[in-house]
Amino acid sequence: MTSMLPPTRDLPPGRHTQIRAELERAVSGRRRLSQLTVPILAAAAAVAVVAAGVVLLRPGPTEHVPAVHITTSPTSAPAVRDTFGLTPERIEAIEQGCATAENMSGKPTMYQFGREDAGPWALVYTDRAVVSCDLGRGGVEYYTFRPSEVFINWLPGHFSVDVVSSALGGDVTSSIPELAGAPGYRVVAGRVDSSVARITYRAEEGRTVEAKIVNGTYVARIAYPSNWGPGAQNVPMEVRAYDAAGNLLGTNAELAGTCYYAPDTKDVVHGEQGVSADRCKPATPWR
Amino acid sequence: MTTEDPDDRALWSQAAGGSARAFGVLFDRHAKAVYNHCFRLTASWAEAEDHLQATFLLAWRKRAEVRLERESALPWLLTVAANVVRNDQRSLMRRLKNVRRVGEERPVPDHADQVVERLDDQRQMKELLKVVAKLPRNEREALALCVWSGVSYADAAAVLGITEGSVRARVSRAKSKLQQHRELVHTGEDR
Repeated sequence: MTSMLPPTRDLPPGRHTQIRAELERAVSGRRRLSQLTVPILAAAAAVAVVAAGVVLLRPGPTEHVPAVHITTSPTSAPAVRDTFGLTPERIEAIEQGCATAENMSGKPTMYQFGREDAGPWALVYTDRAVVSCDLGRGGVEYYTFRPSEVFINWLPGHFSVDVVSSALGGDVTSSIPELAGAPGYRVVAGRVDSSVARITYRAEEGRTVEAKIVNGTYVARIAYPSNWGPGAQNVPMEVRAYDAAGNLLGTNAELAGTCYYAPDTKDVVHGEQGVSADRCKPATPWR
Repeated sequence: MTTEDPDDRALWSQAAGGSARAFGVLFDRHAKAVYNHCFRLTASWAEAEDHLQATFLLAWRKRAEVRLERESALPWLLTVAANVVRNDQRSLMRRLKNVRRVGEERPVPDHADQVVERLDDQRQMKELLKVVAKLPRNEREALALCVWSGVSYADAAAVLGITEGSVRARVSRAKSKLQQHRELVHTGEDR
């Protein structure tokens, strides 16, 4: 075995901001702390400052107090949405199951659902977060990984890239026998305005697929064999949005280099946190 | 943003007075170090994220009881993190938490290009922790604090409430027991 320590790493993208926001909400008393998680501290004799206590981390699934109060909702979600042939009860179960799996606060809403090579999945948003949720993967009813923070009322231009995720094939992770044989996949997802007619997603190995656009959102997924893991990256990942005439409306690379603010509050809703809104573009309402 | 860069004592003082903003700056300043320290104690990046959050939340709760004697809050935060990790590992609630964590330990990465590296980190760290687990706890934690995370003996002594000589002795004993793993004990800044 090697004795080298693994290298120091940054938090995964978005997690620093997300944890900071969670802490801000907690310390500013803007939400009641849940009693779900981890009573952590017993007395530690050598550390005088650490007395017995309970650390409570996450909000209850039905609570919602946003870190940044958006006083104006530009528009509301449409009353009629594609339900993918699912019953209201099933949709509600998916919404609650996926949101609860990540202790997401706010009312969850399922915007997309599919059954594909890598198994059934759903895309669930609250007004401050989004999660891509596998249904039944590895025998787990609602299989999620790390919601992303979003400002759901606002779009950075014509579209957003809210989810960029992937799952190793189940045979790569031999320590988890339940996943044996499970396909790997990549997924990107986000929201679009009414001018977007087509979204393409090119994965790092160069394969390009069309996204499915439904309910003002898009999802593109690529399934891989169960022995898949991300290998050499031939090209950067790319998301491209087109209008109905085939004109390019934007790319993820352009989004990454631009910040956007909510016109009503001047809060930066896309891009580097802490940047002055004066240096950003106005976001557009979503839906 | 101010143009000045207040030191941790000033920020801590403001935080103790209820300034969430000052506390946020402390988080920005030390989150990465605490995150990596927690990883080295758990061999799990996912757990390290949770412990990072728990550490700062606990720090906030203790803000009125703690007065920073040293220039940096980091040594104290790392010590709190070690306690958070230790108590979490002991906690009966861990079982409940693991129900949720199933999805995380079955690696479902958020970015594919990083996942293999992070999985390798975890495997590697687990192997290292098996070796280090043979040490007494106080030596193990002194090693992690002073050697892996680069806290000075003086700072470690202050936050552990023991003498600097005792810290040195713990680290020295740990090193001598791990002689066959030189990289392990010499990684990080040993001051």
